[in-house]
Amino acid sequence: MVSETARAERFTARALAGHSAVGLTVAALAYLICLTGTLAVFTDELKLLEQPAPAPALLQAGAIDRAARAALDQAPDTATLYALAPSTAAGRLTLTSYGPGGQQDWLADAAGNIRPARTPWTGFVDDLHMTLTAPAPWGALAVGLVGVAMLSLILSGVLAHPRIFRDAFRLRLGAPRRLREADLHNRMSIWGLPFHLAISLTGAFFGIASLPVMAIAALQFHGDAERVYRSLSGPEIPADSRPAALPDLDDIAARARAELPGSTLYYLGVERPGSAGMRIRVEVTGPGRLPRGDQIFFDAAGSEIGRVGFVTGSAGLQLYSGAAQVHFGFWGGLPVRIAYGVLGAALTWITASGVTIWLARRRDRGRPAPVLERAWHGWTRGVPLALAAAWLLSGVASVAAVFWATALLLQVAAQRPRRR
Amino acid sequence: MDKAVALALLVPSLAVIPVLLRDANWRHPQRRRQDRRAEPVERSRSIPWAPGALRVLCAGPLSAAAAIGCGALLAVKAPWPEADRFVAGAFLTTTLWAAAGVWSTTDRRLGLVTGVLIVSTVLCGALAAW
Repeated sequence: MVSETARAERFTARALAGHSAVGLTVAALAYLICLTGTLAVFTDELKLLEQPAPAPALLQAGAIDRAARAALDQAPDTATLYALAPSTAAGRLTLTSYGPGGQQDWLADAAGNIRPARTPWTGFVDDLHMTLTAPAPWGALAVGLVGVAMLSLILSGVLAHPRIFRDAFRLRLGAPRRLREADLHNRMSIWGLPFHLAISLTGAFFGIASLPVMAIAALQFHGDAERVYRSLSGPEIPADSRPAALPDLDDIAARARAELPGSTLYYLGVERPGSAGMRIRVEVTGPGRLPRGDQIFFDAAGSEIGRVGFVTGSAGLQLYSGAAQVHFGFWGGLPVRIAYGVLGAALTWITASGVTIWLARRRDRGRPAPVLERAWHGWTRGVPLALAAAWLLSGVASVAAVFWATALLLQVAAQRPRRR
Repeated sequence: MDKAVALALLVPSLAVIPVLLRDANWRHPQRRRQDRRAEPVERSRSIPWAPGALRVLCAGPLSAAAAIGCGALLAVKAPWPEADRFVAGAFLTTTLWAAAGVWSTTDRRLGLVTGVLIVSTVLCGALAAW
């Protein structure tokens, strides 16, 4: 008869084996996603470093309308224009146009005067985090799969740690490297558990959302995925190509703010600008709430046509918006973002140290994997160095090309056997 | 209120850092006699490919299918407003996929895992379509 202790030990061993197998499968991508996610928390500050002008300032009356009209003058074939209002002390009014000619970005000063945005490095880091720079929908889906795997890793990590409470404060920093790293890996994982769970769950949710959406669309709407999103994307206006003047956008933003007392503008989007089928979407942030804000919709005449209550609406809408806020960390000012930065860096280190510990254990048991050790060393050191090289050369070369070329070179260099 | 909950989940993770560092053992531990012996050399274990492949299949596509099936069932049949059903369904999919992945990699009764995942997929899919 197998004793309870032996059974528990076997379960722990199986949980650890599963933890190792899943961890090794996704470690390289998880490390990249965690590192870039940590940097993305400071996206406004990084963009300001990349392009200091125009300086962040409070928007003057009429700035949004002026900036939007100037952007539409420069990109007359715009299909959709977004104006993102500053939401941090380092943030600036940012305009993005999508159309047949591709995407164009501008930054505006306090008066609404625009200039082209030149922040390729921060844009690349954001893209790397959200899509691994792969085309839609595959990139986001891959990131979502890594999120699911990270959620599994967190659960199996807890199961593989039977003395979770007894060891809660055990940290042997003077011990040999493998023990020290294992203690740090376990303590940082356990104490950061709520943050790691929240980030992985919300990241996975947004990444793989297209899969349940496809299933719901197939079951209920004859495969029409757009229909599934309609309850989140607001009332539709049929396309109508007859020309129509752009209404005063500052006036529309003010009317939207009045709908939610004490709110501030988060963004304003104009779909099919200059046509009678124009739809204007305004998101205003609710004061003191975790969900970001309600979206209020207007037509070409400037009449309100509906609202999606991410703050004042149903529990599902609030959960959806709250999940985005929890993931991005923009809900509590700079102190919360600094906390996200610290805990994000810890999560990045945890993903790196997990593989390092596994490799060290293998070596100690007489089964070293030197090629994998060098590859992992090359990746964990190479990615930050490649990002640094891409930053330094962003003014003269493609950020993506410099990043991948440097990462590859450092991987090749890491594989070269060292002379003794 | 909701911000306070989020903050309450964030603060302990940071507040514990000075406590951990204060209580950490910074000294090199005296190794006991049995620790001084090298760890036993582990022979390379060959894992049979068929159970390994089945486990990968369970943790990946089968867990995904079962989770999507259950999530879709909730999204289609729950008696809530449309947005609530869809958001809850997507969250359930994410959570169940991760949980099923853990189960697939930790339970040695691979036949049971495979059976439950396949039956869940078929049952939830059929109920959702019905």
